[in-house]
Amino acid sequence: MDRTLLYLISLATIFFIYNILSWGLNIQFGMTGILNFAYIIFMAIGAYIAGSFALPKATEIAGQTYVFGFSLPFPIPLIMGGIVASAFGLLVGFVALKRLRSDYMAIATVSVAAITYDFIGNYTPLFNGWDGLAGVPAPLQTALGLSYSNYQLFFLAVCFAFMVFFFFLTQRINHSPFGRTLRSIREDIDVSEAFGKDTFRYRMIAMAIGCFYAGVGGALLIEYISALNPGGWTTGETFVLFAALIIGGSGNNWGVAFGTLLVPIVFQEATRYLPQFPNSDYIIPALRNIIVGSLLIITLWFRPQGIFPERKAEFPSVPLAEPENKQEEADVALG
Amino acid sequence: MSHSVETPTSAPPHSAVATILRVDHVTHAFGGYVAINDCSLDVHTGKITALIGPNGAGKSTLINLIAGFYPIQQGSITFNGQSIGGLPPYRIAQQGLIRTFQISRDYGAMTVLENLMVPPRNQLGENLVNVIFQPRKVAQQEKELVGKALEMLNTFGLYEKREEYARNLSGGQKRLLEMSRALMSDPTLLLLDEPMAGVNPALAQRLAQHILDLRGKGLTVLMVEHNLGIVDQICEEVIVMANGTTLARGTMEEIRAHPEVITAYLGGA
Ligand SMILES: Nc1ncnc2c1ncn2[C@@H]1O[C@H](COP(=O)(O)OP(=O)(O)OP(=O)(O)O)[C@@H](O)[C@H]1O
Ligand SMILES: [Mg+2]
Repeated sequence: MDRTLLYLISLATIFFIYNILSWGLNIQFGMTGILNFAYIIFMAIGAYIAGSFALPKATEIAGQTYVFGFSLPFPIPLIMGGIVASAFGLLVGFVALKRLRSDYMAIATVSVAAITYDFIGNYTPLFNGWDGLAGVPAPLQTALGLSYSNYQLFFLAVCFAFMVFFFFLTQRINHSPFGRTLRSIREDIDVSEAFGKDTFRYRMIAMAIGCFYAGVGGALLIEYISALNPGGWTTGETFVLFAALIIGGSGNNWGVAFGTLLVPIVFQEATRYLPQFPNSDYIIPALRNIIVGSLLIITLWFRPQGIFPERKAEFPSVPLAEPENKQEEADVALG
Repeated sequence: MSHSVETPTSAPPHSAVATILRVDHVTHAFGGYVAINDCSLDVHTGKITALIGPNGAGKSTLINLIAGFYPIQQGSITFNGQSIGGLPPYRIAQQGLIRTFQISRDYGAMTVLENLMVPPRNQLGENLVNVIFQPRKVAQQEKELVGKALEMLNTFGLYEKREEYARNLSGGQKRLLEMSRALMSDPTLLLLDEPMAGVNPALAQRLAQHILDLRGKGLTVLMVEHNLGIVDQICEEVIVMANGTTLARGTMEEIRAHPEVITAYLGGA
């Protein structure tokens, strides 16, 4: 297989994984209005849990220290990554959602992100500190015995299957009465509370589900690239996902996928391999940030709902028992 | 001037009417400012009761206290014989006590019809387990609720607007939305905070008629209202508040003759 094709396959794999991350954030931010600026932390937790569950005992690997090391087969590490990230999401949610309103909650999550980042980086026995985990075994690689390029295709298919699963799950949530209540909380939490909705509980569930997506996405990511260190999950990465949501159209899962294609894939990943300017390798990363930032501002200015805005809810058509009351219509028109 | 009007703030003990809501010696201060001061009142089952009084009297604050939006600092509130003081708003609402807001608060980015689909209580599809494992039942209930919501919109003259974003409605239409939406939750006691504010007289008449119809269906209403013509027309009982406490109670006719009410609210004449 030629190198361009392999490169496109790797981009597609990353795109599929990132869609899962974006949809999870969409459930929290797009649907429920939760400003979780620690989102990437949950991706990292999912990745580290999956990685350390899949790796053998740390004593068997030179130069790494980490907990667990269970050598568990796929997909157990991945599921555990999702579950632990989700549990951590509940913990953060309990602190941030119980009493704090949206703006303070946002600040609280920024703090959580900073604390977790520094803790994982500095406490080396946990996940090998700033060096992170490396050498995470690729799922089923030895069992399948595929060639390198065929294995790339196989993993692409695995990620595609996960993406499709999460897409349908997200759509189901979005179009259900549950999703409607989440949106109502985003629109006006007090009103929903006044209608008997346990808004704390709903927001906690949104937190748990979204963080589960993040955890599974992170797990797939570490199993694909086989390594992850804190440089890969700085707070900036959270904002890349927020940018993808806002530009694509938060609340609309198709729009979010489009935003994901545009921001993390085309601008972040694909531009990594552009030819460098001689003696100034900082230019492309800088340009990348300028472009994403400008795109974000242009969207907010001219199309605040995003390129593909949230769609109006659709309902089954039910005929009225009595014909429409035209007299009343007329009265309202007067008013 | 007649002083013959009795003005107890609670129902006389011999009265046969049942009390659905009792506010008992409630006090609430914002910092040092006492907005509700040892306030007591009863709302009788099946009646439309008006809560009137000058601006700043504490009417909205009292509604917020009853609905659990502010913590009770002193006193107690009972609904259907059970204490609801200290419960979070959603627990109070789940018991059938539903309030509206003085300033319309629509779910702006949702359609009018979707706004009405939020309040119904005990929706199967609000539980994700049901959404995934019992989609048929959820869809069935959803269809019933859509039917009910459309009828409601038709009654309130908003049927044509069902697909419109709620934020695009006019001020008066938003009042209609606020009330029709509250009714979708099948309340037993409805607290309306100035439902007719900013509504033209013809529409106000229609809203008044709706409220009367609701009583016919067994609903109890406590409404804050400044339009005394409407109060006269539909409210059997009137409670007057001033300076954070109840001043008088009676029919509108009795209230009009009440000397303290005249000075505090109606304007001395
Ligand atoms: N959150 C608050 N913080 C401080 N003071 C408040 C607060 N809410 C209300 N107040 C004060 O409490 C008093 C009662 O206010 P409230 O809104 O209950 O009046 P109201 O009777 O509803 O008046 P209106 O007829 O104008 O709606 C007012 O003096 C108001 O300034
Ligand atoms: Mg008020």
